Amino acid sequence: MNHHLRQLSAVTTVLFLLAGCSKQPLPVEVTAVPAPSLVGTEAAVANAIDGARTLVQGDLYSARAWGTLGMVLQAHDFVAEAVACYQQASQLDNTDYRWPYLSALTRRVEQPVLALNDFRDAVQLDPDNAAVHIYFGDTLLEQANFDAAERQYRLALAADSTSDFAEIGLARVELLQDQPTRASERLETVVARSPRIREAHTLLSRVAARLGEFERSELHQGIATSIGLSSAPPDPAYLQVAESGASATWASRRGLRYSTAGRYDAAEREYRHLIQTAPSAQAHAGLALCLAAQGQPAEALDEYRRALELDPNEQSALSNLGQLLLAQGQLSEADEVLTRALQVDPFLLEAHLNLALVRRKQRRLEDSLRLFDRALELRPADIRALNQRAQVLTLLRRSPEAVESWLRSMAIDQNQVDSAYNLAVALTTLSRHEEAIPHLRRALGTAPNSSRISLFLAWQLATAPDATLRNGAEAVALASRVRRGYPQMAQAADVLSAAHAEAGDFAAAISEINAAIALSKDDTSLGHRQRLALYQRGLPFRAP
Amino acid sequence: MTTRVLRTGCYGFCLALVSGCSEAPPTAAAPDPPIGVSAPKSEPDCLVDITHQAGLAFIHQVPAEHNFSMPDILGSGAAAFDANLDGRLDLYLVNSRGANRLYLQRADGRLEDTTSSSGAGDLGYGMGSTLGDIDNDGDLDLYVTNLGQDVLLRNNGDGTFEDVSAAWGINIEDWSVSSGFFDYDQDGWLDLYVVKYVDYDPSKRCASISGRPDYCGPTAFPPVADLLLRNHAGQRFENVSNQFGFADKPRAGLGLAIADFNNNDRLDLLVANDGEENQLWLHTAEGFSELGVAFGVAVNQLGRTEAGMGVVLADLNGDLELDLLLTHLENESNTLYLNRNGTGLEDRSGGSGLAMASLPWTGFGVDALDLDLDGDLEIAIANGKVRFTNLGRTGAADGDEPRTSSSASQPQDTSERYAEPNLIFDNLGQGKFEKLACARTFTDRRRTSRGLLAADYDGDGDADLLITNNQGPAELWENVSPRGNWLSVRAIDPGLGRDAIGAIVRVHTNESSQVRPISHVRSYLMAGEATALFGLGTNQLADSVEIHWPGGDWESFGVHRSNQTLVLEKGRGAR
Repeated sequence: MNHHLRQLSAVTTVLFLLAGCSKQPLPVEVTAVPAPSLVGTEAAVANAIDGARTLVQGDLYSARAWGTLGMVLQAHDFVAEAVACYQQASQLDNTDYRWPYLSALTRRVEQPVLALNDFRDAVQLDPDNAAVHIYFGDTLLEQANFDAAERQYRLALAADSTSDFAEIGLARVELLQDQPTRASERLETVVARSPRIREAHTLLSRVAARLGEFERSELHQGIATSIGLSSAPPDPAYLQVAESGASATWASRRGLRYSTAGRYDAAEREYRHLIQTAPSAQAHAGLALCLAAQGQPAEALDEYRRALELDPNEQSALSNLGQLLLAQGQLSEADEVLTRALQVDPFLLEAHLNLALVRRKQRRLEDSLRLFDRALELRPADIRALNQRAQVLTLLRRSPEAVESWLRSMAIDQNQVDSAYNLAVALTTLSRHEEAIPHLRRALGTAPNSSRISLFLAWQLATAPDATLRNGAEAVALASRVRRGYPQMAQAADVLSAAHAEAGDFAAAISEINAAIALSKDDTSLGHRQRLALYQRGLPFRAP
Repeated sequence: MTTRVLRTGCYGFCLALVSGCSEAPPTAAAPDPPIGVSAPKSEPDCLVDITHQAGLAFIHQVPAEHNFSMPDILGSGAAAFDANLDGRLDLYLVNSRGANRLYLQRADGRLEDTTSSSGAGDLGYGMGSTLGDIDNDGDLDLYVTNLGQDVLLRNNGDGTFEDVSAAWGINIEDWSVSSGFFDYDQDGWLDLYVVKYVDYDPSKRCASISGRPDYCGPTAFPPVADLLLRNHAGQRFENVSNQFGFADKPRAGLGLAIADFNNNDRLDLLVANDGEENQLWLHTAEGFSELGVAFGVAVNQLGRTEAGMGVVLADLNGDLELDLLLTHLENESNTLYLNRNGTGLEDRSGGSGLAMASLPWTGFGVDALDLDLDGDLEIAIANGKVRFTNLGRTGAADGDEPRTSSSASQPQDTSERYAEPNLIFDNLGQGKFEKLACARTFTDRRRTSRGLLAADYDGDGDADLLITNNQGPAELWENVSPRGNWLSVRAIDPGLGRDAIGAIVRVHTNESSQVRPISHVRSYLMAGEATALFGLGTNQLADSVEIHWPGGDWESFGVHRSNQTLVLEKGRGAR
């Protein structure tokens, strides 16, 4: 060692002594970079892991690099190695909740006690993260620690008062503590707010059964089945893990998740990658679905054909191809493809629904109804089947049955605007105005800017035969709003005129009905003129 | 392995100074106890492997090893019964390549492979088997489920069998798994329920999330509806599935339990489904109705569907009601459903000691047995993965620190990748369990186990264990626990000349009461004698034995001394 080096060493030693005896951070112990066996893994997986390892080796003191490696390892099921990385990341940066949190998720199954310690660290670092509280609560619940689980769910609600999964967690605790009524009330609130969370319906089904309400139980089980995919609370940290997955399986999962969420461009990227790395009929069918949804039917047809070349019995390709052909008006081709899909799998719900729509367009209404009925045997709570069946029944002039079908649909999801409107129309044709109005009010609550709902409700409030149902002032308010927004809409002027008449302002009624007559471009003006005559005699219009 | 990397060059000296001046490091949290393994104790084993000693040389095989064909990971089952009516338990082991094997037990306890002369060596891709006296002639016949054509083998009473599938109208293809005989229409003839799995497509290939080729899961294929076959006067079977709605509710079924769950004196069907809601087909005068949700057994306490594999029917909390334990995939706990007086079943896994301990493992076969004959039932579970995950590889079987080396997490031998330890839980009473300390040799061994059956192989009054392993050797474990007194009961309907399948036997002592079902069905894929074995502890007498006969009659059989096999006949007393 030369003189300069000896000097440097001495200085370093002194500095280090000073640092060690002060409150400065200690040198951190760094574990060896995990090197799992990658034998048999896909090349993309090996590359992803090698790349993340290289980043760590480039900066052994980077918490971010260690955490990223942990995520890549976790995504590919290298459990112990991922935990080691997260622990190392935590040591290097004890301010980032992600590292103890992901460590907790990773070791939850095998080392539940250590996982709880990690969860405690994570909630301290990010007390406002609802997902962390929820998964902490779930883990406590699995260990039958009801009180602690409840605390975590309540903290999740404090962090996010609209967290459905915190409510579901609390309902689970209540059910386990023999409070099914409270759990039921809580879950009904959740499903009213968020009707497409499978977990809420499954649990509500269970709760209803405990309460002896078997019909309600079956209803929610049916809804859960019709929803299919499970949900999870928004969780940015785990999303990063999912995005780290480099295998074909991950690409397939992401493709499905993105397309289900309507993110077809992202799904398309995943499926194209999948076709490059692991081509399959499902990948082509998935890509085709994305292309069709993005307005590229010709390209979508090509992809469906490729899918069926690889596997002539690929169900999703057959069913979705049938749907695309239906959308393009190629009814006989759609019929053929969907019939084949049902030969391959007689229990395929989507094929039943699409073939029923084909038959409806072909005016084979009885056939269509039979297929919708079969779809409902398969999934009694499928909203699409119930609504479409109701429309077919309306075409068959079987309005009472149509109403029944829409009522079943609305019982499943009372926030449906179109179905509420259609139901209200069907109810009024049966002179059941008193039942129609509440559905319209609820629909307006869901879609307050809907001119169609506003006008129909205003019309009912202005013209219903039963005086107790009428409310001229409210009808005027509703119709005026639409009239202002759509000054060229004859229907808005007509409804507003009826509302004014009901409110006793016949001058305004006459003015508006004349405006409606002027705006009318078809023979509806005949009705307008009849109403004008009524208003001129100081009489309001009454629905039959 | 841990290395230290310091930014300076003064490693040893500086480190000593630094650590001397620093605050004491926080105490590391104690590592979790290893899951699914017994704590090291010095007490002797209560289970001893006698596979070799008994001459059991069966190895489960599949057509093409490590080809990742989905059926090749689901293993096969077995039946333990007296095939030749000599009073000794014989073994029938189902294989997925080559002939199923029949082993008759000789007087010296050794097994003799009589397959070639028995007529029972079906060559189909075997899954499981069940037992029942289909023609009421006093011997047990065999039904073999296959991937392909199922087979009905009628017992000639001497350990030889005749394939009567065609004559009896058995024309069942696709993929059958568990099955069971029961007399649903109470006409005196045993009917048959066959659990179907999925519509398997061998061309479909799957991979793990790390991209390794792996076995497909059930969601890769459409599920198939189960079948109910009616026995017409011991002459033939008729498929009556469509009459009762079974055909309209296909699920990927694996496990089966048959019992009267709602106390209406009719036998119901519980089907454990793989990744879908379990089905409970309740039997009423109008037929069968699927009421799994309403009865509380479709999903677990969290409202989640689980991957149901095996199921055991037994009174697990000592309240004289028959409960259920279902085994599941890793990352899902096994689930304990306690019976609420015939009004429903309720998941009480949390806090039972059975849930968390099962999380890392994939459970298949499960049975309840009174290992030490003290009057309550222990639970034995066969585990083994169906997909390659690294779960369960960080905890070593002997309770040492978690291992993180790549060699521990990545076994290179494919057959080892799916192996897991089996479990035995001691019954602490009132639905609480803990891992049994004395079964260490049993729980230390890692196999890809599938079938598990408790049966008194050596006729000494306690239950031994038969295990089938996927692509591995079957194992026979003798129960050598310190033991109490016992009573074995057979319930016979003399009018039918066979076991009263579906009966319930209760035994009362001055200390406790116990209940057992009379059934041949053991899940997953297994079948056993319809004998009820009771541990009496220190009691020399059973104060009374009661039988609830199928159809509803109760009959009491008075006081009986312990340590004997009672054959009780309906309306006639002890034989």
